[in-house]
Amino acid sequence: MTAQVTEVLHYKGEQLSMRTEPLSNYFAQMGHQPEFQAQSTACWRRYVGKWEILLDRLYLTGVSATYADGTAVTLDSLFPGFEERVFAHWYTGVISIPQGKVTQYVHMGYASRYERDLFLAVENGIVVDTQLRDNSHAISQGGSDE
Amino acid sequence: MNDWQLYAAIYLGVGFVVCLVVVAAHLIGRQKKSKFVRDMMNAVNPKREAFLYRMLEDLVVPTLAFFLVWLVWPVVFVLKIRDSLQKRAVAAQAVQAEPEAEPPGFALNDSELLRQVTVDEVERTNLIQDPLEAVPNIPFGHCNARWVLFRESLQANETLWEFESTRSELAGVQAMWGYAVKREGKVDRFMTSGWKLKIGVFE
Repeated sequence: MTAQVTEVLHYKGEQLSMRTEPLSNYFAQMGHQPEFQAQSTACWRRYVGKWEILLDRLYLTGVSATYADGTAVTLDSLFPGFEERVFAHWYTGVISIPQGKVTQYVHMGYASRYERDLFLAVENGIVVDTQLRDNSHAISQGGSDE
Repeated sequence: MNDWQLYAAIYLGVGFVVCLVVVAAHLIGRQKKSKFVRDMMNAVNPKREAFLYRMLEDLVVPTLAFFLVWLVWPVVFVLKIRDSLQKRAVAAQAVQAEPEAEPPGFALNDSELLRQVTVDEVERTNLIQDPLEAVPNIPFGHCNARWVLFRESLQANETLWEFESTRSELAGVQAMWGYAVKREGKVDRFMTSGWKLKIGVFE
């Protein structure tokens, strides 16, 4: 499986990569995913979501994808009446944000390793905790920090 | 012209034709799928919009690639065959994601039911607040359609219950809550509306 394009997260004035897919959780909870065009093995989920954390809340602010009929996916088409942002109240889990340089590239999913990982614990769309993990110790010991 | 020169000329001649075919295929493919790929890559890296980046991607790299393909064109055939095999694998696995709302096999116990509730009560107490008003003012917000299906599935011989459980189908969850339908004295189905993460969920 090819390395996957991450989601995009705006957080504290920075644009970050996000290795978590809250929109897929939404589709799973709703029991239906709209049919998007498959275009690249680097994007098996067939979309890239743009997210933002404001006031400690997780918002979906855009989706890059194409419907099977060739029309562009918009936020409004997925969440009628919401063109600019959608509060992701359905999402509970840990958001993983790689930071720093790639220390080990893995050509599969989100398996590449970075210097640091920022984790955000989110409950029902609200950020309740954060943790920054420095992976340099694990690297010097030869790998696993799981 | 000696034999060596003749073979080189044939090799480069065939290579040039292969290059033209590759360029044509690239241009056709680019027309077909450029929007998605462009949007996707721009979303990940906005610097792609910059002039220098565009020059690099639209002119320098294709030119270098052209000459490289010309020189080692047999490799293109190998890569094309591998690419088409991969695309077949993608098509085979690209099944529409339609999982169950609640995974089969996970059942609630009677002891996890808190109290019987009415539809009106549920709808009154599950309006989701957001300071940026990025959620509809309807029960369960963006997940309203799921609730509507659940509500409409209620039969006359069934009752609606509020539940809270310390078990969950999700990893790292300390508790979850929502609504369950009881039928003939047993929990028949349920809909989760919220979760609480375990303390130390990062570890």
